[in-house]
This record gives sequence, structure tokens and C-alpha cells, in this order.
Amino acid sequence: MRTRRWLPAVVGVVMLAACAGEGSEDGGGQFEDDDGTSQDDQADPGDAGEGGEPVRVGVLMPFSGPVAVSGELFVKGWELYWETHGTSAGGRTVEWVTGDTQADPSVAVEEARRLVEQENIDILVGPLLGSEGLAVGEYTESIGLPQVYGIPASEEFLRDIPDTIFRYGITHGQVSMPFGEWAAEQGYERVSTICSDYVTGWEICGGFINTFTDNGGEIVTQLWPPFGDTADLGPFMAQLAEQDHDAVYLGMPVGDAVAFFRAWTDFGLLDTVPVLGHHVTSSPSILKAMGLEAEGMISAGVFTGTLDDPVVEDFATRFEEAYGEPSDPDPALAWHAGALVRHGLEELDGDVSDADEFIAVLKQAEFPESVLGPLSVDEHGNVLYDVHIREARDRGDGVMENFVIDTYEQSGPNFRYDYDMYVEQPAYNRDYQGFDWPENCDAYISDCPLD
Amino acid sequence: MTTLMPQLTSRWTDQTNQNRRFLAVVITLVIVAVAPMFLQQFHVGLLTRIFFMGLLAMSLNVLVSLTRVLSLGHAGLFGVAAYVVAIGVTRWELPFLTAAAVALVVTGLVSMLFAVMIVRAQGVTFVMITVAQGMLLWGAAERWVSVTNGNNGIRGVRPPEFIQTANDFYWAAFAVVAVSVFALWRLHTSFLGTRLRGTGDSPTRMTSLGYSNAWHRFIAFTIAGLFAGVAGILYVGYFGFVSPTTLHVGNSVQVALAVILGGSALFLGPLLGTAVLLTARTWVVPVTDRWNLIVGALMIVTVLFLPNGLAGAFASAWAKLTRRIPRLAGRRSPDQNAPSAPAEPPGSSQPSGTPERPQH
Repeated sequence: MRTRRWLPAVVGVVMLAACAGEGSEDGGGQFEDDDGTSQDDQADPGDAGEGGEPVRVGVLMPFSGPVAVSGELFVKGWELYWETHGTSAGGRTVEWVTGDTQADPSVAVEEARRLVEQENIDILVGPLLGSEGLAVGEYTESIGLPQVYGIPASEEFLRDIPDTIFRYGITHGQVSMPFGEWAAEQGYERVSTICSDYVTGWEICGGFINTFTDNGGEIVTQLWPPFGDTADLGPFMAQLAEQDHDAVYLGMPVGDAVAFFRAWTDFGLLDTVPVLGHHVTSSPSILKAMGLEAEGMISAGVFTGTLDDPVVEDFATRFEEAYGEPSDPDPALAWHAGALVRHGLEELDGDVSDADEFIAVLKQAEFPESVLGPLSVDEHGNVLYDVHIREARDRGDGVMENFVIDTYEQSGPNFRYDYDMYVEQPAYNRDYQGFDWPENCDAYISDCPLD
Repeated sequence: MTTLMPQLTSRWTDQTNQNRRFLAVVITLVIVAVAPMFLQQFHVGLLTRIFFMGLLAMSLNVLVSLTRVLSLGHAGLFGVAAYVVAIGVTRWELPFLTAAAVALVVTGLVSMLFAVMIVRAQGVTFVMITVAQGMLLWGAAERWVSVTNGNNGIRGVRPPEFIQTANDFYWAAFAVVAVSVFALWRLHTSFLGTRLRGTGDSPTRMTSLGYSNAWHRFIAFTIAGLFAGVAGILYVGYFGFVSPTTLHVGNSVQVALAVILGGSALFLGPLLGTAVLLTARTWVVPVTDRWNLIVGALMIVTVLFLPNGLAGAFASAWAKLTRRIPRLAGRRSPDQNAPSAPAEPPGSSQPSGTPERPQH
């Protein structure tokens, strides 16, 4: 029939009309703007010279999908920072818009592109997951947009990171390696590990095992439940119940950690051996979901609201006043992202036109006092943190928080290892958990336990 | 859908209408080709994505509209091509086009392997096996770290040298997709297409006519996989990276939704469905994070009220218009052949007559 003839035309016109509509978003991709054809007010990350123009920051986080909670907590911390300190920095006003990655790397790139081209952002903060970060980094590098990038903790970033990204967060190994040494020094000899079977779990477990075994510890068994599939952890509990071990090391993020703990309790294993955790298994929001039975869980992390530090206390109080919940690491990282953006703007008098320069300024920035504790930067641009060993306790009103029992000061992603030798090793994965590395003290730069 | 096809082909025999149709296609192609010169950069990007995701949906539609089976692992084949290109370019340091050729071969082989596994399956079994196949590929992407780089994916895939700007890529993608769509059109109107349709509509009759249903499903699945591969190559060229999310079953479901929304009965329906989904998403997501809820509602409305999808609704609206104003179209549309006639449900194996396409 007649109609069929017009169908191609209809499809074409609808596509065009749909695209030309106001407020529509763009499409992602890895290309620079084509100057010959862009005719509207495209993103111009370099309009800083025009004093008084606000600086626009894109906050790219997952607000839907499995890790939406972290995205929401991040924005809470971000907003709190600017409410507390005012939105003026380096002679310019700071504005922000948010983008939702849906925890999908290609959506993350599309959203980054929308923020740049539709919302005209000058700086990108985010995103959250390692895979999103790598994908978005590819795009921000191609257009020279500074990206301030906190939470992604993949070891991959030690090996390959664009110059336009400042990664101010930790790697998982940065936290779990000191913990492995600490656990061995505390007298734990035989430990079983249970970590989620994907990159985050591999890296959490790998860091712990690397140093734990260096210090004479023995891994009894390694279990790898699939990430996000928490319906039946029974078989894993049965396996753990059979083992003769001193402790269980847990590296299952957020909701999975809660599911682990429920199963652990249900199987009557609560009082058998202690559970050692990571910051992703023990933030206050997770402890709340686990219940008071989680009291006594020892974990490693860089942020806890109970730290005896005026800056941290101030943040923790403000956060709890504003949102009625104890402060988490995510909003603290967001708060620090705000501090970094302010620092960069003030150092450059509000000129963010040169991404490399902006990132270079951030890479040199030392924060003797920050919401994440004292921070310094090593020669590779990695941020050194105080890594705390904490114990979960009821703080007195039925709310659990982590209380510091030991601290590794200014620890980097290579911990006690020689940096170059460390990054020559592959990033931790299921096949490489650092059992046999290093073979001797050559790879250690301090306190080698191998002799 | 079967009711639509004979008219379509009778049209083809009508020289005047064929000319008009040709003109309409040419005008559309020209409009789309010059579009980037008048559009903002992000709209060019959106259109580019509509091209290759639309091609993916149209490749799935080879299975849905012809052989009447639904695959929910289609993004897996799309992802295989993307991964092979990514690995070829970044690890083996092949030129992009060489890697793309390798990717097509690999995708074709994987499609054939998968096709062998499922050609004898029916209905729900078929769908479930394709889900398993998709999960298998996803699992490989996620766990086979030494090859796929696991959850972090592979980045740094640069398109060929001659593609420098987003507009260049737009034109390249447009050319590739246009050729692919034409090839698919030839498939739909060919004798092979007719036999594939026969396999879907009336497998018992096909058997009695001496055709092997399994063989024809094998062919359809392989062709669908190859065109999914073409879309996957464009995807990785465009985004420059690939990660396990690309071939996740959720992505396959999105593609199936685009087919249903646009209307599988009409040749360009899946492309329209993709265009509407992607465009709507870009409007809705900045406003609310309830996008999935909206998609769900859209799908329910489509299934309940638009059995031929959006493309069918457009076609039917146009038919009504031309009936009311006969001069506009030159002549009256025959009522009994209105395109709003509901398509038979996919997978239906009730005999509905011999394959209706004239066999030229």
C-alpha cells in the first residue's frame, strides 16, 4: 500500500525532528567537536577569561541501578560542601549539574557528552565505577576536559590514566595491603577469604593476600560468590563452616556484604571466628543494615566519622545534622572533591581553560588537613592516605560506627613495595592474588618481612 | 504482517509507484546525509547512535519478522564484534578496518555455532537458550580477564584515519547502515526471505514442500548475527571502548523492546523504535530517574493498543487519511488490507497459507 512508500520518509523525518527538539541530549562518542558544523553555543571549557562567568561542574554519578545509593550519598556530600563554604571560588561562582550513568559505561559517556555539550560544563566530577571511569576518561581526554575522579578504586588506574584525570581516591589494594600485614601481626595465621567475583572483589582480596602471605599468613580457602547474586549464599557458608581458620576476610561490596552477614548469622557462625572487612563492607550505612550483630567487625578504610580530627568531626557533625544519618565515605569523598575544585580554581584565578594545567595543580596539592585526613601526593600523582584499622561499635545511641584502633600513616597504592615493581605485576585478578610475589626483599622499600 | 506483504510487492510491480517510492527513499537519504550540517553536535551523535543501534534492532528483526523466533542474546553477538575489533586494534595493533573484517568473520562463526545449538528449538525454549548464549558471552567478557580486561573493559579503540570528526563518523556510519539496510531489504523481498518467512509462518507446510526448517533458521540466525556484528563494529568505533555491559542480557532486552515498540511487521519499524527509545531517553533521563518505569509503561501501551508498533500505527494513520481524502494519495486504499491488521504473534506456527510473496 501507499503508506509503505512513505515509511522511509516518515522514519527519517521523525528521527530528525526528534533530534532537533529542544532539551534533547546528545550522543556520546569519542570525537572532538567539528568546528565547521557546530553552530550553537557548544561547550567551551575555556571561557574562563570572561570574569564573572560561573564555573559549571558536572557531577556524574549513578543515580539508578545497583549502586544508586552511593551516587545519592555523593551528591549529598557535594551539596553540603558548597552550602557550607559558599559557591564562590577563584573569583567565579560554582554551579553544578548532575548526570546519571545508570552504572553503564556507555550511558556514562553519553551523559558526560550531554553535560559538556548541553550543559556547558568546565569540570567533570565523577563517575563512580571503574569501568565507567575508564570510558569517560577516554572522552574527557579527547576534548581536554579536566576530570576529578574520586571513588573508582581500580588498580588499572595505576597503570594507565589520561593526563586530564586527577584520581584522588584510593585503590582497593591501598587499603587492603596494610590490613593484610596488620592481620598477620595480630597473630591471625590461617584466614579464609570470600570476595565478590569481579574486579573489585579480586583487588580487595588480592591486596590482603599479597601482604598477609608475605608476613607468614596462610590462606585456607578462597571463595568467589558472584557479585550481586545474593539469593543463596548457603553453599558458601557451608564451606566456610567446615574450615579450620582463625578469621574470614570479607570483600563483598555494600549489599552483598549485608547478604553475607545475614547468611553468616543464620548459619550460626557469628561467634565462631571474627570477620575482617574492607571499607566497602563496613561503612555506617552498611553496618546499619547488618544490625547490631556486626559489632566488633574489624575493617580497614581511610574515612570514618569518628576520627579524632577537628576537620573530620566538623564534617561528620554537619552531615548528620543535615541528613540525619552518620557520615559515610562517599559524601566525604564528594566533600573533598569540592575542596579540590575550589583549590584548583583559586590557584588558577578561576581559569580552567587548560585541563592539563588544572590537573597539574591538583596533583601538587597537599592537604595536611582534609575531611579524608592528611593527604600528600607521591611522584606518580597518587594520593597517600592515612589508612585506619577500625572496629565497628555501637556509639551509644544504637548507631554503629567505626572506631580507629590502629593507623598506617601516609600509605600509598604500592604500600611497602617498590612502585615500579608493583605496577609491573598485573592488577589483581582471580589468577593473580599476590601469593608468590614478591619472592624476596628486592621489591620492598621498607620493613621487609621476608627475611 | 503477512497481510501487508502482498500489497507491498504488488506496489513494486506498479512502475509509477515504484518511481515515487524510489524518490521518497532518495529524498530521505539526502535529508539524512546533509543533516549534520544543520544539527548541533550532540544531535549528530544521537543520530549516529540511532543508526547503529537501529541496525542492531533490524538485524534482530530478521529473526522476529521472518522466522518468527525471538533472541534475547542478540547483544552478545553485537558485543563479540565490538570486542574483536577492540582487541584487534589495541592488542594486535591491526588497522581498524582489518580488525573489523576479522570481527565479522568471528561474529559469523560464533553465530553459526550458536545457530547449530538452537535451530531445532521452539518458542520459549529457543528464547531461553538465546538468553543462556548471551550470558555465556557476557560471562566470558567479564571473567576472561587476560583477553577482555574483565569488568574494566577495553578502551582506546580509534576509528580509521580518514575519520577525524564526529561528522565524519556520522557519514561513515550512515553509509554502512544504509548499505546494510538495503541488503536486509533485499533479503526481505528475496526468495530466500520468502522461504524464511515460510519457516516462521508455516513450518509444517515448508517441510511438506521439501524445505528444511532447521537449515533456514540456521541461515536466518547467521545473517542476523552478521548484521549485529556490523552494528557492533560501528558501536566500538563510535564509543572507542567496550565493556561487559555492552553484551549484557539487559542490552539484548532493550533491542527486543525497540523491535516491539517500532513494530516488527514493518521493515523499518525496529529503526523507528530505536529512534524513539533513544531520543525519549535523552529527554527523560535529565528530568527523572524513573526512565525504566516509563519504558515499561510505553511497552504495555504498545502491546495493548499498537499491535504493529509505532510504525504500524503511522502506516495505519496514513491509510485512514488517504481514505478520507482520496485525492491526496491519488486513489483509495482497500479497506480490507489496512495495515492496522494485527500481526500474528511471533512464534505462531499456525498455517496461514503458502508463503505469500511472489517468487521472483
